[in-house]
Amino acid sequence: MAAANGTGRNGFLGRLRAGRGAGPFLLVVVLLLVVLIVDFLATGIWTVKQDEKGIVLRFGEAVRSLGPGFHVTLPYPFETMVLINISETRKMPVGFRLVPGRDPTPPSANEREWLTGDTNVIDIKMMIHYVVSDPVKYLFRLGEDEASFLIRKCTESMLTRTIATMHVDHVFTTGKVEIQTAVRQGSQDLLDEIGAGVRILSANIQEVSPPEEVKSAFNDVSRAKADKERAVQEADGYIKEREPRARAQANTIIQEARIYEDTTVSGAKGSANRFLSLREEYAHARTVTRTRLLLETLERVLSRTRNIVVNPSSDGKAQIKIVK
Amino acid sequence: MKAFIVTCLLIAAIGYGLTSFFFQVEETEFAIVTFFGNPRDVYEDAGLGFKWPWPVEEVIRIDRRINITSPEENEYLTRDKKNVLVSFFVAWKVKDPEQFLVTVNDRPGAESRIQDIIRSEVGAKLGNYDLDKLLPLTEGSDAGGSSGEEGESGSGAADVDSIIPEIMNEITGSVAGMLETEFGIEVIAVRMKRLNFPRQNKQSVFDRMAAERARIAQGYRSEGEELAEKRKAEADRQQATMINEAQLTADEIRGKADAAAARIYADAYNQDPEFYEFLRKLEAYEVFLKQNATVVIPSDSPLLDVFKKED
Repeated sequence: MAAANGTGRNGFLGRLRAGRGAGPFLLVVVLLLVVLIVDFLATGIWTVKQDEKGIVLRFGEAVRSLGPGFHVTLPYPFETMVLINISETRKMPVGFRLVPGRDPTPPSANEREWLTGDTNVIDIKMMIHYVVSDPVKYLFRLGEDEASFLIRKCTESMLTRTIATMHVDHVFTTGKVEIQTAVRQGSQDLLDEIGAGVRILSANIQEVSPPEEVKSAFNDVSRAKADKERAVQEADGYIKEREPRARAQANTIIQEARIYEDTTVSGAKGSANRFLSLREEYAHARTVTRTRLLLETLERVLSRTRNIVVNPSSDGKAQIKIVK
Repeated sequence: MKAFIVTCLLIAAIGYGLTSFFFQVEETEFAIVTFFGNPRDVYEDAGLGFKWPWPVEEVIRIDRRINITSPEENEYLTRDKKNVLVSFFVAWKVKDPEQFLVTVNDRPGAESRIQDIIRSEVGAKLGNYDLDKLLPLTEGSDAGGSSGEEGESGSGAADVDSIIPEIMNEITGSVAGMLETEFGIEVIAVRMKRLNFPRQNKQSVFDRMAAERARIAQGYRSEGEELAEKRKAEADRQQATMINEAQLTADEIRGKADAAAARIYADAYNQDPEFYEFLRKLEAYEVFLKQNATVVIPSDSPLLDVFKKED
């Protein structure tokens, strides 16, 4: 005790002991030890949350994986645990980026652009959603960063390959679903082959657009389509306007014919009737009626003409008397 | 108190022993123990390892995970002398850590070797194929107008296949053996990430695209005009037919009316043709002796015989 007292004088502990005495010092040391031991043991106590999986590593070797709940492992450094969220849907943009990543090139034309089978350049933006399906593979075969990087690369290679077999118009119209399916399946196959421990939930095309340089040309095609529609509609309008007019004209022609029919027939009937009634009268008094009709007509006719009365004398000289 | 100090020293000694005699091998790595710099043992599985303390033995750790190497795109020539920009990625991992350590040392070293080897392989392979093998719908494909859009590409997408996957598989096959025997690297996959045209060639591609779009747009517009004209002409024809038919019907009606009238006249006049003739003559006088006509009447006309008697 005395020796310890003598040697410890220079150190911090020595000064502490010299000032306070042995009793409280021991207490402090014991307390400190207790705290250390509790702390040591506490490194083996873990809570795994509802959406997590815990991988227990014994000297770095993955020995078991644990579901949600309260778990006890051997304390550090014998065992430790890695927690990984397995229900979180992770996102990976392709053809654009949410935040700058670790690609060797910044977002550029070469990142947005793909070539179609008929050598057209198009921009595609795609979003991949994926979950961790095998935590051990995900963590230890690739690592989180490498896995997400791989997903982008897989998607890009599948897009390159798929679009290289398509017409540009197909990509813009009905090909989207085809592309999405091909990319999802192809990427998943490659990821499984590599053993990335992830499952792709969906590969969605967010945008397909022509490059800026030819956008106006593509827009003009849409306008031309609209122009075509409009031309046809205008023609229909012209037809709609003209049709009733033609029908009316046809109707008029027929109605006029009917009017002619009516007037002709009834005119004929009238004349016939007049003739018959006149004839009846004529039958009663033939000579008188005949003379009357003749004279009445001559009266009407000669009253409006210039009349010259010629005397057919024997000496051949004409005596002209102008009546009226 | 002495006992306490001894305990403390013991713990410290054990701690030192543990850290200098034992080491931990993680799931993600290989550990190589070197004896004065010479590799003595390779730990391929995760767990605890033993070594003599420094400077006798040392531990070198080598990542055993799969690496994705994605070098920048490079320009290549196809067989038909077209410039293309191709980028690829390689998934690889260390298979033989000792060989890896000796030959390429670390990841950057490995990556530069892998890049060089695969780039030259890609160049050689691409030089064997024409561009339209990579992009099978190039040229000759008549995607003009709306017919091409519907029929051609609908079936075209299923029929044709690009040579890209095949080329990349060939490349994987040909580099895998060499990289494994020389550097202890296992190549899992080589895939083409991008295929594009170099910047200097792109403008001509864009020009061609624009021209093609212009042609398609022109096609739509002409088609619209054609359709409109066709519809108008058809409607005009129908309307003309309608009017002609009406005219025909009208003529028929008129004809029938004339016939009916003639019959009516005939029926009536036949009853007394002589009287009809007399009446009709009277009517005719009224018509052809118009105003200002001059009528010469002989004085012995029956019309004037009244005067004669008075004379």
